[in-house]
Amino acid sequence: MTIAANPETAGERGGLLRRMARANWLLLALPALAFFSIFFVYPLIDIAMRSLQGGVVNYERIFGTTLYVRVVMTTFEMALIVTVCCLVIGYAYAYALSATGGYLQVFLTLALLLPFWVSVLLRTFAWLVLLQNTGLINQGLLALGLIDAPFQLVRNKFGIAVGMVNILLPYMVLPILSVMKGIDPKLMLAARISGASYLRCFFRVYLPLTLPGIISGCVLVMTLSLGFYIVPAVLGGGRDTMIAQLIADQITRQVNFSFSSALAVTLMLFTGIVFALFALSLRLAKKRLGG
Amino acid sequence: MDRFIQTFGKGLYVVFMALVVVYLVFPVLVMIPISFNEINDLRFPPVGFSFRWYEAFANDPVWVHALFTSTKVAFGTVAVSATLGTLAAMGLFQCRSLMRAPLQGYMLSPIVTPVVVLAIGVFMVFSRWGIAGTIPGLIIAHSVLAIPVVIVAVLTALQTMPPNVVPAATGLGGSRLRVFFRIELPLLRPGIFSGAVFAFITSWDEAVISTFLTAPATKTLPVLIWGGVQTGLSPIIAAVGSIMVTLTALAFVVVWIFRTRKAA
Repeated sequence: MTIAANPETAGERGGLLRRMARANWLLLALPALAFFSIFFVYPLIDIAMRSLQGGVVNYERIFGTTLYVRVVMTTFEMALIVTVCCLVIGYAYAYALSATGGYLQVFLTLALLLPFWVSVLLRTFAWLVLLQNTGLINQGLLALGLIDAPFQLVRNKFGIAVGMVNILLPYMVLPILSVMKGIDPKLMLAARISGASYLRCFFRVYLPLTLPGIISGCVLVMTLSLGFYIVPAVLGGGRDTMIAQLIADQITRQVNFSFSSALAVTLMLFTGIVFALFALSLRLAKKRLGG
Repeated sequence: MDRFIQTFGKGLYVVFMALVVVYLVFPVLVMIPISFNEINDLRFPPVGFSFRWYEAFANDPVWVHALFTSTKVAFGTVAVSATLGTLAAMGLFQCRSLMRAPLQGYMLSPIVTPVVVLAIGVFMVFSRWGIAGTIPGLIIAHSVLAIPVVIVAVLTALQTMPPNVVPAATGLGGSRLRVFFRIELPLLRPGIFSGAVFAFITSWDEAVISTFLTAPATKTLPVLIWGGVQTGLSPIIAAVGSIMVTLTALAFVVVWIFRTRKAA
């Protein structure tokens, strides 16, 4: 209470108080910064240190063992499949959201965001129930006479993709939508009047304009999907292990802390590389649009 | 012909969108009817109608204990993350230096960190410190995930706050603390409130870090569900899931009402 932040008196008393008032923001952010340093950054440093126990043996083991290389490949394959599916579905959904108004728009927004706040575990559990051999989808197809025997819809890559796309879709839709909202509809009209066909209009005018949104959406979905754990563990089969499952298994089953740490560092590195590549392409895309 | 393709395309698009909406919403809603099954199977459409799985949940001391643990941890997380997150958001908002962007990135980075990586790191460190398997340990770990959520919510609220109220209040002679408690905090209340609700949901739903950090006596609901999903699918999970989905939806509605009332 003694320190009056009244700008006038502070000015009279000299620069120190003024500087303190300006440095206030650091004081406010300090507790959270300290908290993150101790409970977030320090554990990550601990992982990095442990992964290097005994030199680079752990990393040699990851990249020298066919089994682990295959896990890394599966992880990237799933991330790619999920990103492409999210892009196709998400682009169409974002367009619907940007083109509609009123209740329909509210409805579409709710349908996208309400599941977003329901836990990943529960939604994955629901997919397991729906996709299993005795689940709704197989029973429905059987009842309709479309198939003779139940399809294997879970414990494989298809199941993982269904679950992951379901969870990651909002991360694709929202960045694309924010870009679509800023596009002047007159541009499309101008292209149409100038005689461009619908398809040409879309591919030469609309799509390039939404490219920054597409790239942001893809980077989010791709980096998040690399680290997915619950969905592949529940909906995937034994041969579709992803790197996050391996990390967890090495701790809970093998109790091999240093190898698990090395896998964690590898995952972080891959995530960083993907992020950097996309950031680079985003810069290029913006430059081309601007020029 | 061109006309036909156009109408046909539009129809196809509408059907596709309807399917996507079903795909998004169905797995969330399907839990509720499944939980009322009369038989010991996760059948949909459900067979009969009974509360037997809710009764089974309420009569099982393990599940009830987990419900209490989850609630304790979630409220603890709200207390820690709402305090630290609000202060941090206000600090970030006032910051005018070049440090702002990197600091903000730093404080939001737990959102994009693979949660398994965070889980093993926290597990190894907390085991050494002797707080693995305790409720404070869980609260701390959940807060790492929840603070960024609060920061985003409060920052959004700060951006919509009229810019000159704080200088005006200080100019009229209010002390820094008085301005904070009488002007800023009341204006930010909706933002802090929605941040707190989202922090609650974050903790309430967290499964991965919790499986590493819980001891048998501190199992949370998601940890039990996780165990249940791996060992066998019991309709109790659907009953618990329905309770959790309902709670989440309620929280969402409360935030929605709070926001629209503020706007009105």
